[in-house]
Amino acid sequence: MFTFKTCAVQGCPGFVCNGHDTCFRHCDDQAGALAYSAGRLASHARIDDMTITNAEFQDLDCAKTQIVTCNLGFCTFRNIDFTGAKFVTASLDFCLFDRCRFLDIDSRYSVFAGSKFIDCDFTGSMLLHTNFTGCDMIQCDFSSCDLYYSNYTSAHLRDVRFQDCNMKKADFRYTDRRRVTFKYSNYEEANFV
Amino acid sequence: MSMKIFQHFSVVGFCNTYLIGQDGGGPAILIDPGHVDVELIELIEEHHYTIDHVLITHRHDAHVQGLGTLLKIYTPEVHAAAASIYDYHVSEVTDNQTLHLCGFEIDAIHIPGHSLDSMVFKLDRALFTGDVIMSGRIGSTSDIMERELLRKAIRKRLLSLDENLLLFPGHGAPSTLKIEKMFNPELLEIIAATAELIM
Repeated sequence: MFTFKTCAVQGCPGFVCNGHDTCFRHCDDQAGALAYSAGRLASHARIDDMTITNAEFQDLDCAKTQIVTCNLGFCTFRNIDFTGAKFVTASLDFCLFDRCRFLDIDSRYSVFAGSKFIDCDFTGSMLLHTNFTGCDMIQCDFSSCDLYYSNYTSAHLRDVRFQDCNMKKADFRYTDRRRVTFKYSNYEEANFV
Repeated sequence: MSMKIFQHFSVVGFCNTYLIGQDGGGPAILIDPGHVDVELIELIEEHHYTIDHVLITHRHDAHVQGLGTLLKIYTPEVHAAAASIYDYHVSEVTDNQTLHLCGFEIDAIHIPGHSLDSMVFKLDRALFTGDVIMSGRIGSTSDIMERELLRKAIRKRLLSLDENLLLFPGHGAPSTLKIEKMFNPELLEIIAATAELIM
C-alpha cells in the first residue's frame, strides 16, 4: 500500500513523496521528484506504492506500465499514453486528464473520482470496481469497455460514448448527461435510479 | 515493513473481501470472508500469509458465508459484534474497542442501521466500512427507523473523521471519505440535514 505518512510541514494534509519527508508541493527538489516519478511511470514495468500528488506530467509514454497501489491524486496529465496499462488499487482522484489515451487498460479497485477528463479514449478497457464518481468528462470514449461494478454517480458527462459496453452493476445515478450514447450496451443492467 | 491491503471479489454475494498483512508475509487479517475460493487461497498463499484473525463487519450471509471453508484451512480468531456466527465461536467486539492484531492497531466503530451489528474498522488511514457506506451510497435499511438510526450514526461517528481516510466498502469500488462527502447524494443529504439542525 502507498504510504499514509503525511507531509512534515505542520498542517499540511498531503501525503509524502517517496524518499522525502514532505509532499510534492513542499518538496525542496520538485524537479528531481517529478523526473523520478515520470521515469517510473514511463518504465513500462510494474510500479508499486509510488506517491506523488499535485504534480504535472506531460507527453509521457506509459504504455503497459502496471500502476499498483500508487497515489497520484490531484495530478495533471496532458497527452499521456496509458495504452495497455494496468491500474490496481491506484488513487488518481481529483486529477486533470487532458488528451490521454487509456486504450485496453485494465483497472481494478482504482479511484479516479472527482477528476476531469477532456478528450480521453478508454476504448476496449476493463474498468472493474473503478470509481468515477463526481467526474467531469468531455468528449470521452468508453466504447467496448467492461464497466462491471464501476461507479459514475454524480458525474457530468458531455459528448461521451458508452457504445457496446458491459454495464452490469455499473452505477450512473445522479449523472448529468448530455449527448451521451449507450448504443448496443446492456444499460438495463446498470443503475440509473 | 509496510502494510499491504489486497482486495478479493466474491462472485457469490458480490462481496469484497480484504486481506491485510505486512509486506513480505506472516500473520494476516481477513475482513468479511464472503466466499472462500481457490483465488482467495492463492492470494493468501502466494504472499506467504497465514490468517490469524478474521474481522466481520456484520453478520449478513454475503459477508460471512466463507467462514466454514476458511476455518477448515486456517485457525483464525473471529472478531465480530455479533455474539455468534453459524455457531462458530466469536470474540465479541464492542464500540470504541481498540484491537491489536498482527501488529496493527484497529479501532472498532459501531454504526447500526443496515444491521444492528454493523461495525466499521479503522486501520491506520483505511476505513473498512462493510455496508455502512459504499461508493456513492449508504447502506440499505429495512424501514424508516433503521434509516434514521444509520443516518444519525454516520453523522455522529464517521463524518467527523479525517477526510483523507481511504474507504474500503463491502461492495463496489473503493473511495475516500472526502469523495463521499463531496459526491455521495445520500451523505450530502445527511450533511444538509445537519446544517439545518445547526441553523
